Amino acid sequence: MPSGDDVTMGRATLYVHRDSAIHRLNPLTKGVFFCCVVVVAFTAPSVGTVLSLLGAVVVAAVVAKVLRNLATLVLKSAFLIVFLIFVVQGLFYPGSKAALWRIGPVTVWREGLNFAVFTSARLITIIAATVLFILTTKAEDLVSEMMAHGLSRKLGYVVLMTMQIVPQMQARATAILDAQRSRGLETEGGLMKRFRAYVPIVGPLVVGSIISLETRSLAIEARGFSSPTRRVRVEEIPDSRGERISRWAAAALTALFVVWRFVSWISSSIH
Amino acid sequence: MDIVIDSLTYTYPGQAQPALKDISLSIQSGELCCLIGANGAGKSTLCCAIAGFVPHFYKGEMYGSVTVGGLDTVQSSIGNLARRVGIVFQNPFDQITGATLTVFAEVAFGLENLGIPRDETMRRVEDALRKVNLWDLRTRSPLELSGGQQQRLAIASVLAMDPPIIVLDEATSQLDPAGTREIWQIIAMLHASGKTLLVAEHKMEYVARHASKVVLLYKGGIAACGSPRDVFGKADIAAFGVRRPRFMELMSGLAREGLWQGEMPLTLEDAASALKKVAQS
Amino acid sequence: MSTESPRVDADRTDTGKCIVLDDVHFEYPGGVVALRGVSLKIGRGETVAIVGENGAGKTTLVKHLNGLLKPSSGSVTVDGIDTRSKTVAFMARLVGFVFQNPDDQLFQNQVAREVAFGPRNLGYPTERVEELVKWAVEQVEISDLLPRHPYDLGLAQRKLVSIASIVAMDTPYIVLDEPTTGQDHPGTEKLGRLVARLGGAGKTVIAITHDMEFAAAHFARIIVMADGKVILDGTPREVFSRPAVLERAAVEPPQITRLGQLLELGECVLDEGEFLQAFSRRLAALKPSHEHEAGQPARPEEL
Repeated sequence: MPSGDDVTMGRATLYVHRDSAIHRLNPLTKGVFFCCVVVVAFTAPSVGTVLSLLGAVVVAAVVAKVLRNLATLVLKSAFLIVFLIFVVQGLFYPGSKAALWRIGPVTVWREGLNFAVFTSARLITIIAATVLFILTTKAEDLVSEMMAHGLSRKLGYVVLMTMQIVPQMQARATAILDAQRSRGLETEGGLMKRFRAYVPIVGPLVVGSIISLETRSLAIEARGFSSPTRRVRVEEIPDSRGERISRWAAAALTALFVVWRFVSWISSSIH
Repeated sequence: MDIVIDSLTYTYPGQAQPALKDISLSIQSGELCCLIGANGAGKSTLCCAIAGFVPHFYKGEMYGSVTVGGLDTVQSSIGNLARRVGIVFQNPFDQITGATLTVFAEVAFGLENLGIPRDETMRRVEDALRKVNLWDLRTRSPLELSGGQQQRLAIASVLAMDPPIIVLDEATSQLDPAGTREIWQIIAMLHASGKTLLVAEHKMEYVARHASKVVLLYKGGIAACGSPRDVFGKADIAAFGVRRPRFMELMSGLAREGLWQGEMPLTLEDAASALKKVAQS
Repeated sequence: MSTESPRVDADRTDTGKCIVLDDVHFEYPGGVVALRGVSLKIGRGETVAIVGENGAGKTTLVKHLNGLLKPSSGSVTVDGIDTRSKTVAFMARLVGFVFQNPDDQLFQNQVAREVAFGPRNLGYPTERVEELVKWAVEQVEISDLLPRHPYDLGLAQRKLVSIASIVAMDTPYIVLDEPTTGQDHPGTEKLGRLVARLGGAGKTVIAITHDMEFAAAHFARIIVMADGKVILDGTPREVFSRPAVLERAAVEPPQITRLGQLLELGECVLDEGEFLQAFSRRLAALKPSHEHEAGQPARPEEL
């Protein structure tokens, strides 16, 4: 609840606004392409395929003017995992025969390293595609589009409300924390103290959120939420014929790709 | 559009005592009826009964009937009643859907759901936002507004649905004096434009100034019903947990001392004029 | 109504025991400057009402008193202790803070347990906690609500419960953030009696309120804020005699005072009794000159 001093409640979101062709694309288009990239990266036969995909993602990031944001976020999220993959696979990959280096008791195997490179490339490509999608798409627009194309209204609104609720819950948690600290609740210090602080903070937060949800669903109900008539949107997100065709094309090509990979995998297992 | 309440008795689920006891009341089209009474007297419950939230949302046991423009609230649904009765609550924050990104979208929400054609929706949203003076803020996020602004947003969202009846349940209680004044200016404007209004309120100066009818609730029943002068003129009003506006108490005090007599003024300004005349005579 | 300046009372008691704000400036992380150089001294036993429109800095100011906010520049000391040197939980021994929204605090399933939470955190032994709970609910007049579940109560009653929870901590200073909001007439009267009792017990009560009648009737000192600054600081009579300054803060005097001002009674009246006296005096003063001008005999009734 906004307090006496009206401090703006910012919304925590990764979306970065830019004036680019990618941003202007319909969220469904971006969503479909995102899924295709992930599927192909997963089933790709070689590092080469994966790296070309990654290249495409990077090009798209340049067009969307978010390359630096992308690089920072991908590095932050992938660094540790990639490091671990290299260590684990490089040293312990089963069936390794060609040793590359020996550092004392530790052996780095070529097969392990190859596998690590392949897996890491896949992981980085998937992460990069995800981050690019989030950076260029407003989640609310995506849900809104999905609702226009058949997603259940109730589900769509629940998702939208949840996305908006999270930053509010953060703000409210701070208010509750302040209130309980003002009653002598110690929140800094040992584990035991933090543990005991849990209930007095989570309690009001949960109850408050439930009550808030109750009054909100009442407000929504009173605005014709359960009305059986078809929703007529005022602000429509542009969607061109070209985009629709490209979505179907991308999905179809990806499906073919998966089928091809499946067939080659089966035939290589037989031989 | 009329509201007719006939022998309404309602008990919330799990409660021993009814929140409303045998209430019979009729509110004529175009009236500005104010509900006053101590906390727990049943004001909010009565407001919810007119909008159909009681019994549809809160369940519980209900006897008697509430008819809005000929439509029985029990036979109807909340969504259907919403076209006739708009309701604004105490806490501005809890009335924002949270499903929209801009003030404009928030007000358009209900109309979209009802399948109103796009052009008409745009027109009605602009109309509603201008009435509450929020048109300039239409691209802001609803969550970034102040309490008073959010309350005006809630009113605009209700106005866009264009119901003939608007219920305000202590809509000014969380606002500062400036915010309260703004809301009451809007209420007065709506009254002048012909809407039927039911306003539950603690700030008696506004009740005295604007109400065409005052209903005093006490422990679930109607203790008094009439014009502001009738109700505030009751000698034992304090026993019902209500205090009349201070300037009225003052005028009664002056009358007792023989310093003034006449019809009880309904506003501070009228009291000042009346006393100026006394000083000049 | 006290005729002395409240600051004199503060000097009478132990001079170390007071709250001092020294040129406090505060800026929120987003860049909003909420306090622009506030200097105040509040002594033990004072009753202080802080008024002003939303956004004037009232809540920001009081949050400095228990260390929830630390000044961007300047200092806040309570009984000689700088708030920057201690945690909020430590300051809670000295300054009790009741938030505007009771639902930010209530989490127990029984009012009695809720009220006991504060004193227990302060480490008091069980018997003292029980005594404090009993005393606090008597002060706030909610003894009948002890066994109830807080969420079964209405908002205004929950507010009283949250106030009792802080009163039970028996702190020398108590801050109430908008206690009168949403209260009905009996509730506001309860709060008035509470302020009088606490002040009488030597505690300092600082309350933010929008209810000018409440402020004028129960507080010896009123601080008016606008735009992050204190623009008026004095007794209710001193403060409400300055309508031009009050207008800057979007604050209106109590109804009776306003009526007196509209009638140009010449002095600041705060309640019905004072108005009656001032008004009678005005009528008496006017009568003789009226009759003179009209050339009428002194007693028209005798004609």
